Amino acid sequence: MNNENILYLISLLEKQMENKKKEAMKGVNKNKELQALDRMESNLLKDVNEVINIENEKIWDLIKDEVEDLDYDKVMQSFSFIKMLLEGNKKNNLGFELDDSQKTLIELLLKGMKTKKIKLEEEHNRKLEEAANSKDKIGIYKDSISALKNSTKIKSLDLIEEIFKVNNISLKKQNEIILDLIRHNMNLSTSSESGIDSIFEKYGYDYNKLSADIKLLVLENDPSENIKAIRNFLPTLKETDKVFSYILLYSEPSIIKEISEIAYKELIDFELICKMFNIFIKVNKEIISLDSKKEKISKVGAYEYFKENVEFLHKINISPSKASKINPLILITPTHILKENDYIQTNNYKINPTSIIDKINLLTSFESIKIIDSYIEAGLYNYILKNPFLVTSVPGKMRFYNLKYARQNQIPIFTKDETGNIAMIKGIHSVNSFMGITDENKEQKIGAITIPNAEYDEIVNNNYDYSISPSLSNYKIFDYLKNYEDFNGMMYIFDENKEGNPIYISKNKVLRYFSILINNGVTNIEKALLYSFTKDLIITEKEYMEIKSIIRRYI
Amino acid sequence: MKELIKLGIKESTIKKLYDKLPFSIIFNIESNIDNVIDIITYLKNINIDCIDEILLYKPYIFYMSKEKLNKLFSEENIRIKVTKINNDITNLDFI
Repeated sequence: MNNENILYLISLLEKQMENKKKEAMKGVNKNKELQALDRMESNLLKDVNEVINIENEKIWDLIKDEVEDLDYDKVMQSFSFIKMLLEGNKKNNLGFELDDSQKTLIELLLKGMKTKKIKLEEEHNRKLEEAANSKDKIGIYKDSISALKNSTKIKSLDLIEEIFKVNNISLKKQNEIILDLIRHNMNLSTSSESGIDSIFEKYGYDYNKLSADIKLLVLENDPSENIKAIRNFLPTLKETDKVFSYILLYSEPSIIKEISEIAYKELIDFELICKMFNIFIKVNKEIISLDSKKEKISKVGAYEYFKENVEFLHKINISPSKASKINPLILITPTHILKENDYIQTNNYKINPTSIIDKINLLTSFESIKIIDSYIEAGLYNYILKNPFLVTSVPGKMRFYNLKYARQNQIPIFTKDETGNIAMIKGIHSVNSFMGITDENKEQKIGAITIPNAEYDEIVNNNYDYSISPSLSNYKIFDYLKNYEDFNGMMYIFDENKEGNPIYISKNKVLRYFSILINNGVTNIEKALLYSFTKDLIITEKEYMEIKSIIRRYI
Repeated sequence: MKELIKLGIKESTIKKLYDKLPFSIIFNIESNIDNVIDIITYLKNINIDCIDEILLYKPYIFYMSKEKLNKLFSEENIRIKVTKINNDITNLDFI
């Protein structure tokens, strides 16, 4: 099993492991107590007077275990006396000498120091050993070396890449090693195959056309079953295509078969299926991106979306084939987005696209409910009913700031276009030029305030249930608010001051957000209502106070 | 997506793209980046000036081949189509 390249790799791994060990050991600081004790011992050996500088408690701590049944008081008394003698000698040059028993005590202290040092050194060495064998830092090397030596599957591919980089291994040598690693792993997992290159060959592919990166990833993902499925169900894919690599590495034979059969049955363009290739990968599959970043990513697959979307399109009488030709994203858009957009068309908002193009683009548009709410709140619900395609696009929120400014300043927003049809005036969609309104000054121009109501955002942003809660009938405020509804019940219109510039608020928005908050246990009704009314609303302080006062009046 | 910044797409647009679009779509755009670059270059050449918005709100355009897009634009007066799209990107749905 261990050929020259594998042995070479083992030696590189061992070298790198030793370096990592040294690095880890450098991180263990020398024990400060041991260093202090070292100094203390060395000084005491040079000059007995050094004992004067050692606290009695420290002395006791060092010698207490050296002799059995030592008497604390007696020992402390003796050391105090020794210190007194030595200090007398030092200051007054009295020439007292220590007697034998006193010398024995000093020796006992030195012995205690030695014992303590041994203990501390042992502890330090243990820490070094722990660092040098840390599972976090060293375990990965040990496991890989052991896998190569003991003929088990090697899994740590990031490590191999690191080894190549650190040792500046040539691309040619890298390829040789990788090939042998693949053989190493394959021989362990498929006894009937002699090597990965021969599996590729068996199904008519050239293994050597894969890049070194892909070859490395092949190590982790035994691809023999997927190669067979690709050959059988996606025969036009080439091994040099990125889509081939993704399906090879991250799909499953049953998925390849199932998707191909659905596409065939539904007459969905095969070329398109290959462009939307993440439909071959499960939504929650963790994969490594094959672009230059090589990050681990998840939730990028669309297998479940594809299946559910095809089913859902049939349910609403739209051909998946036709829909995917108009807008291919319909195949990989999360199903809840399609359902949300269908809700707009079929339920409370009564948006009714006249053409199939509008219908499909509306199904795949993002944040369309919010866009409709914003149009309603700009007083343009009827215009949206006549031009439902507008819901599928909005250049940021700027369009609504422009509309608000136009309304505040009685600027007409409709004109006839080149073909004689009624259209919004040029510039109203602009991000940066309408009446001098820019992204930077938009609030100032309108006098809009930032509403302090982000606290429920997490609840509403993670909730895809748009049904209005039946429990809302328990809240009297909605009965009172009927007086403020417009003729077709789509919005509340507040014009308390009768200044001819009323506040429009999307009724569905209020009921939807309030339902979500109530269903999620929010109990502060006033705050929940204020949030539901003012969420995403472009509003002046005066208007905000007016809404607040109405809520307080009827709550 | 760094390649797109070189083509004049704003960094804030790229950020919005990541905030707004589902992972499955972002990943697919990244994986088809060569086609995206081709389409952006084509749109710029015919004077479309709202490419940032198209990227955010009409990403499906980037799955068309350059040839198909070329055909769509050349069927009628290209100048009128470009003007309409620059006025409102929703017109892109109807070319």
